[in-house]
Amino acid sequence: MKFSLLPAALALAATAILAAASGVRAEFKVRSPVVEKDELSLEQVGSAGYSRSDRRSNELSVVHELEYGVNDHLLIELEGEWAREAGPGSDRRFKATTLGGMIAPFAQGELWLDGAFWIEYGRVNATTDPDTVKFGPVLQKSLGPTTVTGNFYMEKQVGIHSSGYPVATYGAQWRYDWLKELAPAIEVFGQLGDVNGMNNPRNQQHRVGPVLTGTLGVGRAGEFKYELGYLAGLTNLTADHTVKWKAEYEIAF
Amino acid sequence: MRMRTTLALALVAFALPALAADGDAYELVIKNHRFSPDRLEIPAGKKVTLVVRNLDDTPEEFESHDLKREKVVKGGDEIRVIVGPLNAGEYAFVGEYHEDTAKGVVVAK
Repeated sequence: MKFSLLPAALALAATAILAAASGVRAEFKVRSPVVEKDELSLEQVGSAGYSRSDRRSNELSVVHELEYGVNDHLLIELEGEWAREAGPGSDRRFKATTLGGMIAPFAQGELWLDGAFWIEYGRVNATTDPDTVKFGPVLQKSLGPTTVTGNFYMEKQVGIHSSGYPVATYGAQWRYDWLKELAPAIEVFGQLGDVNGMNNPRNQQHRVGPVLTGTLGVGRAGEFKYELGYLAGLTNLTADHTVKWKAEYEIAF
Repeated sequence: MRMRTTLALALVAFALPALAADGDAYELVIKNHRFSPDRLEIPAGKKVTLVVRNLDDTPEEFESHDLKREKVVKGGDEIRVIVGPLNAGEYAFVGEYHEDTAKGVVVAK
């Protein structure tokens, strides 16, 4: 009897985790800690997830971002996210407005490891969902012809509908800086679950896959940056296949 | 007490850049959309700072795929770019807004 209850308990736990995770934004973007003074960038960061299971399929996230480097040490960002939750019958809707900022106390190359601190507040559109605060270090290291970048965040629900412990998430990119226009990379993204239960792999989401990145300069008119990749889901809570993209236009004033 | 500790840590964090060693400084000048010198020798195996002075009225972007650096320098302004320690070799750089004329190479030896 004890063992026959186990699958049902696991299914219930998975459902609860998925519900709790819905407040956590799906963001497949690895931030660099380098801040460019007076640089304005417009970005679209998107992802679409597909699975054999209808319950975990059809998720979509499109984030439009406006970033500005106030000085060499401070970047501010305003985001709007449109999303469709996984599962049958979900509709695409405006999900959240987010205001974020990054403080980079050190100049690029000043220390052995480039680093900054990211913090954001996400105001969720649905009145029944909680707002979120996300913060954590953004790190980067140049290793020969490659560059490794890692983002490690804690995300906490806040406000009247908030519940639970902070959730730990990460994103990392290992890029081979082959050409300016084309630099292949491997990216990993994950959600370790809340800090009270992150030792259980069943509570976690992990994705890994190849990404093509590059920059196309157009002189004084700025630069276009792109990323296009595929991420394979590694756990039962993760979509089996995720396509991710980023299109960015940068210009300095 | 907790607030004081936080403030102290914040002050230390922002003071550290001033204390961190960024090596010897080497000057690059941009004039008439050209770098001078266009071949800059620096010591290999040492961290150095490139001081890029833009004497033109228009902005320029110092960019080097080899050095993994890009930074805009406004007209009449200067920027500091920390590079290295580098292996011996040549590292090309350009002024992205005038790539046809603004180009050069850092030689680490």
